[in-house]
Amino acid sequence: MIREIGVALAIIGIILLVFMTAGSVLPLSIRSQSWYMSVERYLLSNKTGVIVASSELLKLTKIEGYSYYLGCIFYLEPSVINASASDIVNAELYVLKSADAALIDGFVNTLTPENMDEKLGELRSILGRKAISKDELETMTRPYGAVMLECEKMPLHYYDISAYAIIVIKRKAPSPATPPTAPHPLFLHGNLEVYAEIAPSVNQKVRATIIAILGVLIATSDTLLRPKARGRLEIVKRLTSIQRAEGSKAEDKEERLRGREPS
Amino acid sequence: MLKWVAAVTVLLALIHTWIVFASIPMIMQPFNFLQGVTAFTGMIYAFLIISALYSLASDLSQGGAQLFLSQPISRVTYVLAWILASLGTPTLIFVLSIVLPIVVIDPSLLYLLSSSGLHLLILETLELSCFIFLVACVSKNRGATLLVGLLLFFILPFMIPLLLMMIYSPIGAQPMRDYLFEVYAVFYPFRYALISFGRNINSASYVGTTMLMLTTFALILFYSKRRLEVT
Repeated sequence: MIREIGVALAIIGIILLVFMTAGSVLPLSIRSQSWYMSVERYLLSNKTGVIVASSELLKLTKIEGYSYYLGCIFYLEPSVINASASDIVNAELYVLKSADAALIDGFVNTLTPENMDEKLGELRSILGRKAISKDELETMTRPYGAVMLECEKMPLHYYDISAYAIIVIKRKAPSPATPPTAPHPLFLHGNLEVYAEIAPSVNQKVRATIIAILGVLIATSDTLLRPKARGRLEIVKRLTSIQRAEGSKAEDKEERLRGREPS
Repeated sequence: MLKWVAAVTVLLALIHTWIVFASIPMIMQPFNFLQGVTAFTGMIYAFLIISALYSLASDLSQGGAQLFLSQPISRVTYVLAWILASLGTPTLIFVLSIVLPIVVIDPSLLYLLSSSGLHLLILETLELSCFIFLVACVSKNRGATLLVGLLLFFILPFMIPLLLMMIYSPIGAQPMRDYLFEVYAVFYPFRYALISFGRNINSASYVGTTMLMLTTFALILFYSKRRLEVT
């Protein structure tokens, strides 16, 4: 029994070590969470438009060896915003500590078409570095005409966060024939995805190695330190097989004596 | 047995390590942490126990026990050794295959196991295993042991809720249906928690399952002391 447990411990330790080593060579990326972003505020005119979307509160757990990245996808329906991919002059995604979320609330509540540029400037100066901007976004027009904004793998620095997307559209050729419509949430799909990348630390590798060594020690010590007990067990096993063989021989003999073919 | 243990450990360790690595960042929903996976790997754990109890029935029916008992070993000691080997070792291996990946990643995350239903799975498996152990001791028949094991672990836990849902309507108050599900919860607390989507098991079910397990264990000891005959 001790040998079995030792072998099991060694196997688990070795598998953990293999995972850790593989994680160091090829960092493993796992999609861990997905959040829907809902439209919080929009301002649209024939020439410009601002859409502010926000996510729910994101809570991540700080774990040794894990680093988190954020990815996002937005779909803007052309029938609503009446713009193409090239019309989107700016799209910014702000990832804030939840405690700082009131800043954006203040911005959203005082935003008007007249003060749009001024307010955006203020916001940028307060928030400093934004998580992504237009340059980092992949903007493309989908076959059915929707505009897709995609960003990948921004490192996350906080574990208790709120995310806000501010998309600024400036139409190159405004079309008065198509009046702007309010973007219903269904026409702006926004999703945030958090990826966890595992890059095992030295401590984790040490813990895995200790488990593997402990297992090997237990398994080998049980085999080496108790040869007598094992010997006895082998004798019992052999005796059992001899007894079974003799039993079947005796049955065969009995069958022959009765004049039947042995089974 | 060692080959079986090694093969099952490799399988369990691979599945649990991968799942722990991948689901640790998702601990925003800790209520069902690992529960879906342990429902599957618990079957591998049950299979290991059934194969060990099959060996016990072989030992009792084919003369192995006779040879062991010709040594200065009491029947109770022999039976207790088998309980440790057939129930204790697989349980320890199963628990280690889940706990160790978490310990390696971050020991402070061990609290997550409280929401995994692991304790319910182990309680359920040990309770059913004690019953199969008793069947193996009394019948000394490999076929009967295997049949009861497969029935208790792989057929009844799925058949009973299915039958109950076919007989009684799932909607509205149905005292008889609820009562039968309470009985089901005593025999299968983990499966009950799983099909009721994490609804809390009441303490009466816990006590019922534990009492059932202890009673079967006492019966095993009584039988091995007074009635166990090896041929």
